[in-house]
Amino acid sequence: MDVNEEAMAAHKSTFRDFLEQHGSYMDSVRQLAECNGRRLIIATDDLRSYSLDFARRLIRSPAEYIQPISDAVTEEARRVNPKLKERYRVQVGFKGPFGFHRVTPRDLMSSFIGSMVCVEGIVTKCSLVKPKVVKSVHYCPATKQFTFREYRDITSTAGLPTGSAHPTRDENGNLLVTEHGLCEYKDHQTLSMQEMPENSAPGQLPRTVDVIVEDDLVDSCKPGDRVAIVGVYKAFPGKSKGSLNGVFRTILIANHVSLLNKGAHAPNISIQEAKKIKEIAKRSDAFDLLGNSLAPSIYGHLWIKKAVILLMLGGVEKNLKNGTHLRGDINMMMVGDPSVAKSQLLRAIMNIAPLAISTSGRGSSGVGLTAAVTSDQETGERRLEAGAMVLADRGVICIDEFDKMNDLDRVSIHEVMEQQTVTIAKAGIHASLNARCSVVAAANPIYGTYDRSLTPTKNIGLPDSLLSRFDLLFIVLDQMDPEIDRQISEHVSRMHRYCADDRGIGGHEKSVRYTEDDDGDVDTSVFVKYNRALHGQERKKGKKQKHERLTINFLKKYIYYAKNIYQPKLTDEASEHIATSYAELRDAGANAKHGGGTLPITARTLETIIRLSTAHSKMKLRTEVLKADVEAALQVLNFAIYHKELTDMEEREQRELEMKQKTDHDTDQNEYPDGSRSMVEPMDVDADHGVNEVELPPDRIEAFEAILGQHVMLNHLDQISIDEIEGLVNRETTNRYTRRQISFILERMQDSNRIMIMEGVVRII
Amino acid sequence: MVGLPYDFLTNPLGAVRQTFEKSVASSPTDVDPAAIFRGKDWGAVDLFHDFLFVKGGLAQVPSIDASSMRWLQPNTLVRFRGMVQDMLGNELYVGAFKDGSSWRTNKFSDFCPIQLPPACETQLWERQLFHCVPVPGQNSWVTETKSIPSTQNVSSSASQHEGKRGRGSEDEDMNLNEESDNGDLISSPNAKKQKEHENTCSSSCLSDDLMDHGNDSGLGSGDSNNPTCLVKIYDLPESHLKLNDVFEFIGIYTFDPVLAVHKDDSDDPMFELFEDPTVDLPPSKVPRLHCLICRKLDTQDFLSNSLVFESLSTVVRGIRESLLSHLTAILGNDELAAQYLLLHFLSRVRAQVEVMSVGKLSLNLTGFTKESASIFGHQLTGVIQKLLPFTQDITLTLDYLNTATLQPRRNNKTGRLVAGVLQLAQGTHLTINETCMQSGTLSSNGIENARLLKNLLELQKVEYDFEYYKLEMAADVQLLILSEAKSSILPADLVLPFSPGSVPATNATSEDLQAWRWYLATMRSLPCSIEPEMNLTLQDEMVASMQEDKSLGCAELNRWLTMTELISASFGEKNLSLEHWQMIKELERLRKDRLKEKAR
Repeated sequence: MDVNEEAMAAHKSTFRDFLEQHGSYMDSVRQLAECNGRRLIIATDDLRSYSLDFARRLIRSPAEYIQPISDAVTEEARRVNPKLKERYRVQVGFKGPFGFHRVTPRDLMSSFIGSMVCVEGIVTKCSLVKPKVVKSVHYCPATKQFTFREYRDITSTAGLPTGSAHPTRDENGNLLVTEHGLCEYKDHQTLSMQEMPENSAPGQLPRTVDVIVEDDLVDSCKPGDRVAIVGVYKAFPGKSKGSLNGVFRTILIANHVSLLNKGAHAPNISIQEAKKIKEIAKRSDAFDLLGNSLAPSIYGHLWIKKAVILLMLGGVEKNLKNGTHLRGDINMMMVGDPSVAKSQLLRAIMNIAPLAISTSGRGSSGVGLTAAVTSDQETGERRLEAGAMVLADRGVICIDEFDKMNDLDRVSIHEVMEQQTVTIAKAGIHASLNARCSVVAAANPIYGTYDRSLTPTKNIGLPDSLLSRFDLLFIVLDQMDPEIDRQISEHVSRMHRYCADDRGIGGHEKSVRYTEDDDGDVDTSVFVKYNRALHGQERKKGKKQKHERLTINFLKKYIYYAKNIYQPKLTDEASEHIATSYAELRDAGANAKHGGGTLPITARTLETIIRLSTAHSKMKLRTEVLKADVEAALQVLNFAIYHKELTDMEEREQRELEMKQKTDHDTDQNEYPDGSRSMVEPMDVDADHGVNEVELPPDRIEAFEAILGQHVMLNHLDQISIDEIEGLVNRETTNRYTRRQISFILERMQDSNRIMIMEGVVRII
Repeated sequence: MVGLPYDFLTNPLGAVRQTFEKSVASSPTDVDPAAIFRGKDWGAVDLFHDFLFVKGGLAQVPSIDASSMRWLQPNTLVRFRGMVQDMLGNELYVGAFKDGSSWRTNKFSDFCPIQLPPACETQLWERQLFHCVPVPGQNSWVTETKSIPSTQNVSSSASQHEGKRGRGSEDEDMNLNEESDNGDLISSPNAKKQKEHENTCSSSCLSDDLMDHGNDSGLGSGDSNNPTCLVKIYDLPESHLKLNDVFEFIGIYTFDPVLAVHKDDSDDPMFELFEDPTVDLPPSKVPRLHCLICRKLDTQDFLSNSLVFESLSTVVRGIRESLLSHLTAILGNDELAAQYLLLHFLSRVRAQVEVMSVGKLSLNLTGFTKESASIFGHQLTGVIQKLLPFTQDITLTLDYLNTATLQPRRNNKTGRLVAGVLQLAQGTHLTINETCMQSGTLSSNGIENARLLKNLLELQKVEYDFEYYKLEMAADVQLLILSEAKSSILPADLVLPFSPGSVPATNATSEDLQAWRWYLATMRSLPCSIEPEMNLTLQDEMVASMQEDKSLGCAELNRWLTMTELISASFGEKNLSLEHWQMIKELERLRKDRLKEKAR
C-alpha cells in the first residue's frame, strides 16, 4: 500500500467524521440515496468550522481530497440504500466563501493552478453535450471472456489520465468486440466563461477561461448567464504535445455551478458598509446628500436628482387577491429646452441603476420598445422578440427623445406604464410578458424650446392619458441668474483645471483604484475624496454639505440595500396626511384657471404620493412610512407639479423688474403665472413665492389672515375699510405690517375670491 | 575573451540564455533558482536596453513589414510598431526546466532548443498575448520616415534576389555565432539550406495569404499588406498596455511558414471542443514577436528624427502663420475656417470626467455641395493625410450606414475581437463626408451605426459588442464633418458655414510639411494650465458673457474654454491668457455672424 492511498484513507475517515457531526449533511445524503441524486453540495464554512486545517488543505490541493470525500459520501449513501447500483457514485461540489480564491477570470494566475477556486463571469459559449466513455466493455469471441477498460482524462479525480485508445485485441492477440451497450458513459460539456463587464479594467478586454462540466452539471447554464463556478484549476500541456513548444493550456474543472442571475446586479455589501449606510440614513441631510451625489458633473437640478433617487428606490408593489397589480415603480419625465443636460442625466441613471436599459424614441422601431412578434424569413418560425421594456423588467428604462416616438409605440407604452405587462396578440401568438420597470423619459417641448407664454401641457404636447401615467413631470429650463451663471462658470473652469493636471497621473490613479474596487473585500470608500481642483474651494458656511459626495459605488450599494431590504408600510398618521394633502391638491387643481400644474391631479396622483413617500422612507431605511416621508414626497411632487423651475425663473425676472420700478408695484400683479396666484393653501410651496417678493414669510400672511378672519367672525362684519384693517393687525403684533404689505395680502385674497376690494373698503365674500 | 559571445541582433536568445545561466549559477544554492526568476528579469532586458538605447543599436534593428518579412530570420532581433488590436489573455509556458543538473530557460522563445526530457523538473511561467496590427489609417509618410534609418541589409524593394543575398550574409553571421555559442542552435548546414529554399518558395505567396487573412478578420483597413503580429509580453503589469494603444515592440522574431503545417494530431476528442484564439493566427501566417522592450508611442515618435525644432515662441509663431496661410489657401481663402481647422487639429481628449469628455473639439463645415465637396474635400483630406499620422475618411451614404460594420465586435465562437471601422488608435483623425447622404430608410444596423457615430462624436466613447453586453471604450478621435447643412445625424461641437472665395491652391515643400507635422504633434501634446488669478478672471468673463447672451449654456462655455486652451497651445504657450480668451470670443462672434448670414 503506497503512501498516497494511506493519505486517501485518512482523508476519507476524516470526512466521514465530519458527516457524522453535521446531521444536515447526513439528511441530504439520505435524500440523495433515495432519489438517486448525484451531487452533494458542501459549504466550505461548515468544513472550516469542523477543521480549519482540513478546509484549507482541501482548497489548496483538492486533487487529494475530492476523491476520498466522494468515496465517503458514496459509501454512506450505499449504507442508507443498499439497493443502489454498483456504478452509482455521489459527486461532491463546494460552495460558500472562498476568500481570495473567489476570483474573476483575470485574476486566475498560474499560482492558482491545482487549487480550488470560485470564478465568476458570463458564460459566452457552450458546446454540445457529448457522452464520454468512462468504461468500455469488450467481448472476446475466441475466449468467451469479457474485458474491461477504464478511461480517465484530466477531469478525473482518481488517478492519472489514461490513454484513449480502444483495445482491439487482448494480450494473446485475439480479436475483441466492443459491447457498446454495456459501456459506461458520462455527459461532458465545455464552456467558455468571460469576465463580467463591470469588473473589467479600463482599456482592457475581458478575459476568458475554459470550463469543463460533467454529469449532472451539464446544461446547468446557457450562454449569457452570469455564473459562479467552483472548480479545480488545472494546467495541461498544449495540443502539440508539451515537449514541442512547452505551452500549457489551463482549464477549470467544475464541481459546482451557481447562477447569479437573480442577484446579478447585487453588489457585495460588507457589514462595515451596511453600518455606514445606516449612518448616512440617519443624517438629516441624507436626501440632499444622495441627490447631490448623483451625477455631480451636472450642475444644479437638485430636485430632479432627488426624484431620480426616489425613482430608483421605488415604492412597494402590491398584488391584490383579485388579481389587481398596483405598481410600485415610479415613472418620471423631463421636458425642457435642448442642451440642459437631460440626456446626461439619463446616462447618469444608466450608470447607477442596477438594471437599466436605454433607448431613444427616435431610433427605436416598432419592435424596439415593447415586445413584438417577428417571423423568421427563412423558416417562417414565429418568435417573440423582447423589446427594451421587457428587457428592463425590474429595472429602469430610460427613453430619450420621447416626443419623437411614433404614436403606435406610445400607445403600447400606455399599457406598460400602468399594468406593467406587454400583451402581444399577433400571428396566432397571444402572450403577456412582464415589464415591471420604471420609465424615465426625456422630451423636448413641442415647439423646440419651451414657450413660457403657453401652459405646460401645451408645451409638452403629449396626450393627458399618457401624461397622467407619469408620476412626476419636470420642466427643465435654462436658468438665467447671475449667481447660477457664476456657479456654472466655476463648474466649467474647475473641470478644465482638473484636466489640466497631468492626465497620465490621473489615468494611473484610476487603474489603481480599479484594482482595489475589484477585490470586493476592500470596502468601498464612502465619500469622494476631496479634490480641490475638481470640487473647488470649500464654500462659505451653509453650503458645506454640497461638497460632500458619495462615491458612485457606495451610492449603488446604498440604493440596492435600501431598495431591497426595506418594504415600509404606511402608518395611520401618514395615510391621513396623504389623504388631506391629496384633497388639497385636488382643490388647488380644480381652482386653478388654466390647470396650472404640469400634471393633471387624478387618483393616480394619490398613488404617486404613496409611492414617493414609500421610496423616501426606504431611503431613510425605515420600516414604516411616517409623516415626514409624506412631507418630503410632497415637496418633490409640488416641485414637479408646479414646475417650480419655471416659477423660479419668472420670480427672478420679477425681482429684477421690481428693482427697476420699485414704486410702481401694482402692475406686477398681472405678470403672475396663473397657476401660482390662486394657491393659498399652506401646503402649497408655490404660494410662498408671491409673498417673497414683498418679503413676507408665509407665517405672517397666515397670522394676518387669522387676525382678520377672527375679527370679521366675531363682529359679523361683511365689509371693513383698509385703514381699519391696518389698525387691527398692527394692534396685536409687535412686527408691524406696512400699508404695502397689507394691500398685497388683500389683493392675494381677492384673487382667490375670498374678498373684494372697492375704494378702500374690503367686502368679505 | 574578446567581445561578447553573442550578437544582439542575430542571436538575441544567446544573450537571454547566457545571462540566465550566469544568474542561476551566481544565485544562492539553497533556493530554487528557477522560482526566483519567475516573473522577473535576470538582467537580460537591461543588457538589451543598454545595447539599444545607450549604444544606439536601435537604428540597426530591422522592423517587420511586408518587404522585410521576406528576409527576416527567425530568432533575430526585430521591432514592430503597431496598435494593440486584441488581447488574447495569458499563456502558460515552461519557463525553465532542468536539463540534467543545470537549469535552462525558454523565455522569449516559442520552442525548446532541445527536446524536453520526458519527466524533468519544470517551472510554469506566464506571458501575455496581444494581437497587434499596423495602426489603422496610418499615412504613408509615417512609414517612409521610419524605414529610412532602419534599413540594414536591403532597402524597400526587396526583390527575391536581393532578399536571398541579404539572408546569405546573415547566415554567415549566424554560423559564426553558433560556433562560439556552445552549439545552442546547432543545425547542419544542409538542413539550413533546405529550409532556406522553402522559405523563398513560400514567401512569394505569403503576402497574399496575409492579405486574405486581413480581409477575413475585418482588419483590412487601408494597407493590408503590412503584416499583423502576435506579440508576447513578459513580466509587465497588465495595465501597461491598453487596447488601441500604439506601441513599439522590440523583441525576438519567430515566423515559420513551413512548420505550422502539422495540424494537431491529438487523438483526444476532448481538446477539439476548445478553440484556441490563436488558431486564427497560425504561426505560418502571423509572425510572433517575443517582446524584450516595448514603449508607448506618441505622435512625435512618428516624425522623422532629422528635424527637431526648438520650441522658441518666435519659431512656433512662424510655423503657425505659415500653416495657417497654407490651410487658408487650401480652403479657398476662408481664413475663419482655417483658424477653426487649426484648433480642431490641435484638440485631444484631455480627460473624461464621468459623462463629459473635456478637450475634444469636433468641427462641422457646412455649405458643401457634392461638387464642392469633391474639390475642397479632396484637397482637405489630402492635406490632413500629409499633416497627421493617422487619418481615416468615411463617405457617409445610406448604403454605407446600412452595411458597414463600424462597431468592433467580439466573436465568442473564435474568441477574437473583430475590428470595426471605429476601432481606432488614440489621436486618429476621422473625416466624415456627409454630402452624399441620400434619404431612405435605415436598417437596424444603420441605426446602430448612426448611434455609434453620434456617441463617438458627443462622448468620445465607442461601444464594443460583446454579444451579451456592450462594453464602452474611451476613444480620442478628432472628427471633421463636411455637410450641406448642419448635420443632425452627427451633431458636432462647432458648426461653421464654409465660404470659399477662390479655388483651392496648394504649394508646400517637404520642409514645410515636416515643420507643420512637428508643430501639430508637439503643440497638441503641450500640457495646459490655468493660473488661479486667470481662472477667476475667466469666470468673471464667462458670467459677463452669459449676461449678454442668455442662450449661453454649460456646453458653450465649456467649448470656449477648450478653444482658449487650444489657441494658447497653438502659440506654444502653456498658460491661458485673457488675450486668447478675447481671440476666441472674436472668432465665435465671426462664426455666429456667418451662421446668421447663412440663415438669411
